[in-house]
Formats: sequence, structure tokens, C-alpha cells
Amino acid sequence: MQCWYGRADYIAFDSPDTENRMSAREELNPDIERLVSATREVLVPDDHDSTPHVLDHVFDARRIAVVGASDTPGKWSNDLFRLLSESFKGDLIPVNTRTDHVERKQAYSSISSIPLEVDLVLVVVPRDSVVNVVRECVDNRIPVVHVLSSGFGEVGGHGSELQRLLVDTVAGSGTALIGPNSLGIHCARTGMTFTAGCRLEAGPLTFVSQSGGLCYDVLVRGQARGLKFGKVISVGNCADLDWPDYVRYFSADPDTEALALYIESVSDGLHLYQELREAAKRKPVFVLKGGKTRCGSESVASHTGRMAGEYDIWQAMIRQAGCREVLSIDDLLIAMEATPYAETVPAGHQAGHRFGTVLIGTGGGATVLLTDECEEAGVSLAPISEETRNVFIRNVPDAETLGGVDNPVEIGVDRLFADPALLARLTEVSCRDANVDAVIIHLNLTAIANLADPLDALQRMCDHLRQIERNGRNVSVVLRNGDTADTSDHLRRHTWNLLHGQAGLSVFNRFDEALSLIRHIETCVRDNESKEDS
Amino acid sequence: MGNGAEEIVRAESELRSVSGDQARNLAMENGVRFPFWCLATNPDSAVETARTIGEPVVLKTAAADIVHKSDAGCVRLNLSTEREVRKAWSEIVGNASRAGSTTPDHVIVEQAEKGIAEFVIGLKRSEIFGPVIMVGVGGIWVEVMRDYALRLCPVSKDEASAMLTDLRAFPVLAGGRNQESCDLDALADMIVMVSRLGAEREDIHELDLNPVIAMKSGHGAVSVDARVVLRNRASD
Repeated sequence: MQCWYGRADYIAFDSPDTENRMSAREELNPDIERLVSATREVLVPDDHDSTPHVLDHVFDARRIAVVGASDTPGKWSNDLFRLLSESFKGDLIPVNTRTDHVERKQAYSSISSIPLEVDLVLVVVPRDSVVNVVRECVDNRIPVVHVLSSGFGEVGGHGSELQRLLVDTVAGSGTALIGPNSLGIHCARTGMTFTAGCRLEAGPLTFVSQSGGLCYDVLVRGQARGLKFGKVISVGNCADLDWPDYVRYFSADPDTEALALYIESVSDGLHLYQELREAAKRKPVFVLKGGKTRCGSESVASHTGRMAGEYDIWQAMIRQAGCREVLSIDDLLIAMEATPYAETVPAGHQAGHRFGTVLIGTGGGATVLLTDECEEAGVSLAPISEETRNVFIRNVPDAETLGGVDNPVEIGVDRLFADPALLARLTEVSCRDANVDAVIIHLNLTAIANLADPLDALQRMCDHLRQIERNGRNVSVVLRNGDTADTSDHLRRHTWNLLHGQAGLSVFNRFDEALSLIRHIETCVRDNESKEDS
Repeated sequence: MGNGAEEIVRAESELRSVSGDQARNLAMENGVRFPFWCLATNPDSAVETARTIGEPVVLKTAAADIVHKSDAGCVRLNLSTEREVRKAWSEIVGNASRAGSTTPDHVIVEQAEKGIAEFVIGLKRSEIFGPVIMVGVGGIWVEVMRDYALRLCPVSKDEASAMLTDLRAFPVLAGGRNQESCDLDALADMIVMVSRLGAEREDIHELDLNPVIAMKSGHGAVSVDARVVLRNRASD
């Protein structure tokens, strides 16, 4: 089974001790496994749209031709071809009028001279030759032509004319067009990619982007957080295949369990709304809208005209469709990490129940400030049960002197590591408490670095943390000072791998990120409740 | 996408405001409630109408070419005697003439309404998403506090109710803090009617029901003014 947001692959460490302990790397954290299967049950729709979609030719491509593939090192069209020839699992065919071979593969001079059936044609020729190539695709009944070349509608003028020509060329034909002005596709299943900088790993997340550059951001940052994007597509100018087509495809795609979209513009907004609405019934859909100008209306005759700028309408549309708006790439990634918990968090959420968080940490002042931050962010600290309070008192006997045994709970660093099971006990009892929906742990990484053997201390603490029963709750760890230069990169990565990779906890460098995750879970729980109500 | 600037200029020139009485009739035909009102084109008929519907009354211009009625001095509230009605009529007509109206003597005489909260319900046609419905709290609040909710048209009753709960002022409107609750049900009905109108009539570019006066729960809601901007269809 594919993992929603399993562990990132481990980074190799020099310490042999560490490597030994990492031997369990193949076993998936049981909590996450449960969490994911719970998510799947809810998310997988009963009736998959079984009609074959033209995009199947892209994401299940067996044979791809690359028109304009170059044999000259240093050229982008050579880099791309080389990259694809290393990663693509199917058949890759270069098309080049000037050479017989590209990267030791036999090149053809035209699409019509390829004697085999081609699913997808990638076009990387200069702008002015693109229309001819696309016409050849139409003549040869190629299912999909993907134009990566740029210089079309996005530059205006002659580019817009050429784009109209492209649209006219494929109109009414059996050939669909992706792009132009697209970075490409990253697809673990077929091994297609546009970058050597990201791993090709199967996963249930899909990102569709109108910006090529943001595809890198989402892949790189997502992988660093352990989020698995099995499919990423840069859709470019959407001259032919457009947003409603992509949303419809990924809504029906059984590999896609959550869908993220970066949208700048759309030609048929109402159609997009309808498709988003259908998709949101089947799986979580996140929308990041680029271009948020609140430019007033063209007419000032009415209040409504003055008030409702286009971005306001986008926001309303996203909500009305049952999708979630996210405000930045980081927000998008945090929202995707949060979403499975909305399904697994205990169902004790009768209407009006406030979503409650337990805050456990080291450092008195930090706890005070973080409590304030919770308050300001609208994250409420849970009123813990008598049982939880008793466990806290038994385990943190000196807590009274540190400001009381309640929520937040305060532990000294020395105590934390003198009893490596302490944090696990406090966390576990919190996760059993019906008033508690999430736990945030904050640790001062600099203080940990001062310990005699920080790696060993962390490992022992983590060995306990990974065994606790979290009952579907999210446990986030904020590594204070985890991003500063004096904390060794080695320690930081090691801690991340232990807490996230082994124990399956969410790990952040900044407190506001953990709060954001919790707010996303809470919103998601509320949304699900209101969907059930209606 | 086409030649944007040119198209917008052309579209602008095809927009036209309709008169107050036409706007009201359009809304009323689609189920929106108004207080009793009548168009009066001379002072005698204004007085006659006021007497028929019962004082106090409100007089306001029906001229399509006066955009900001209050600013132009074309609204007079709380008129209880014949003298007040005649005075208001001539002031409104005078002010409308000075503001350049071509129909200054078109004046609406309307029964005065008192409720517990004021709203704006409006339509706007988005270039991207088509008709959009808005509900906001009171004329000033919607602009200063930006307390309003939007949806694409048409909306169901449930969605209309959700728009009201989206308002920041909702807890007060729903009867919190010892306030009397507004007739949210009647407001939701009005939102649904207007949103259907937006979805059905492609020539409505913008529509404002402003203000809409909500009575206490169970006593309904009425619009006391309507403004409609039509756009000529491309085929016209």
C-alpha cells in the first residue's frame, strides 16, 4: 500500500551506531499505517469514473517520443532527454531531423517515420516550429502532445497568435494538447520527471500547477517533509486541456488520494467550479490561488460590484466547492500533512466541542510564550481530565515549582533524558484523554546538543515514543533552535529522522508551523462534520 | 483570452442602470418583498399615495441616472404630514434636476419600515465565474468592516443560511448578547430568490437590494431599495 506521508528515505549517517539502529528502516510506523488505512476507507470513492481519459496516455505512457531531443551536451533539450532516458521505464524515442542518434538511441526524422505506436509526444523545439510538430501529431493520431516550449500566450503579441494556431490545430482532432510553456511531468509510476533533484517515489499526493517553478518547490519541500507526491504536472498555459480536464482526471484517478492545485487563471470558471465540487466529494482538494489582487470591479454603481473583487470570488468559489484554500507552499504542505488526522482524530467531537491541544515542553519562558502564541492563533489548550492530571503529577513531581501541573506541562531537560520514557508516558496519557485532540512537544535542540551523548539520549527517548498508542491524534514536535547555525546539521537531521521517520511524529523547526497544522486538522474536522450534517 | 482592454471598454458601454421602479418590479416579480410603495410623478399623487399607505412614509427618487441617492439629497425619511410630503417632493425633484437627471419628477413614495438590522443583498457578474451573490451587514458595515459573504449562483437554502453564518456579525444577528434574533430564515429565502434571478437572467450585470431590513425572528425581511444594472446581450 502506498503511504500518504510515510517517512522520507533516510539520509546515510557516518555513525555506525546510528546505522545499526536504522536497520528497521523498511518497517512502516504502525501508527501511520493505521492512520493511512483509515484515511483510505473514507476517501476512496465508491464509483470510480471508469471512462478512459486521454490523460491515461500520459500517466500510464509506455512509449514517448521527444521531438527536438538534442545530442549536444549543455543544451536543455539534451539535459531533459538524458534525464528521461535514465528514469523513464518505458520506451523513449528521440525525434531529430539532423542526427541519427541521441544519447545512443536511434533518432527518427519525423513522427510519421516512427514505426511504433506512441502514447505521448513531448515537444521541445523552438517556438516557431511547434505548430508544425503539433500538426504532425494530429495527422499521426497521437493521443497527447505535450508542448514544453515557451513563448506563447504568456508573452502576448505574436506568441498569443501562435497559441491560437495551436488550439485551432488540435481542435476537433483526436489529439489533446498539454501546455504550451510547461516544465513537464513527474510521475513515479512511469519514471517520467523533469528534475534530477527529486526522488521518484510512488505516493498518493498529486500536485497540478500553472507554474513550472513551483513544481520544484512542492516536490523538494514536500519530500523533505516526508510527503509523497506520486504525480506532479506543470500544465502551462492550458491552451487546450484546461483546469476542468485536469481536476476531472485526478478526481477519478485511484492513485490520487489528495489533490493540490496552484491556479493563476482559468478560462471557464464555472466548469472548474463544477469539477472541483465533484472532486471534493471524493478526496481532499487544496487550492493555492496565485494573483490575489482585490482589484475593484469595473463598475462602481453597486455595493456588490465594489466589494466583490475577483480574488474574493475565487475564495468563495473554493469554499463553496468544498475545497480548501491554502495561502502558501508551506501552508499547502502542512495542510496535506494535517488532513489524514482529521479522519482519525477521535469522534468525540460533538458540536461545540473545542478542539484541545496539550503542550509539553522544556524551558519555562518558552512555554509561557508558546502558550500565548496558542491563544493568539486560536489554538486552545485542552482542559485535561483528572486521570491525565494524576499521571502528570506522578511523573513530573517538581512541576508544581515550575508553575503547576496542568496544561501546559513543563519538564526540565535533565529530567527528560534521565527518564527516557517520561515524554512517551506524558504523550500517551494525553492521547488517551477524550478532551485532547492533539499534542505539541517543544524541545530546545541546543540544550540537547549540550548532553554528553545527544544522539544516544535522543535515540533512547525515541525508542519509547515510537511505541506509544496515539489513538489517531497528531503529535507534533517543535525543535526550538533547530534551524540555527550552531546546532549541528547532523544532530538536526538525526533528530528529524528519529522523531518523524521512526516515531511517525510531525516535526517542525518553528512553533507557528505546528499551530498551523493543528488549525488545519481542526478546520478539516469541522468541514467533515458539516458535510455529514448536510 | 482575446483583446482584453477593447472588450472591457465595449462591455462598459453596454451597461445601463434601470429606474428605481423597474428595479423594484424586477425584484418583486422574483419573490422579493418590499414595503408598500408607489411611483408618484406630481406632488398631489405623492400626497394621495402617502395617505393611502399611511404615514409615516419615505420619499426617494426613482431616477435611473442618480447613482448615490442620499448623497444627491434625493431621499427624505419619516414624513408624517401633507406639508412634509410636499416639501420633500419638491426638494427631491429639485436636487435630482440639479444632479442632471432626465427624469427628476419620478419619485417613489414608500411605507416607512422599522426592523432590527440592515443588510445588503446583491448580485454581480464575474467575468470568470458568472453570477455571484453577496450578503453583507448594513451599508456602512459591509464597506468599512468588509463583513460580507459571497457564493456563485444559484445557492440552495442551506448555502444561503451558511452565508449568513459566515458573517462575522452572525452571533449578534442570531440573538447573542441579549439581542433579538433577526429573521434569518426570511433573509435566507431572499438570498435564494436573488441568486436564482442571477442564474436565470444573463442580462443582469449588477443588482443591489440595499438596504434590506430584517425584522425580528418570524416577522420577515423587506428590501427598501433596489438598484439594477443591465448589460445588453451580445446578440442585441
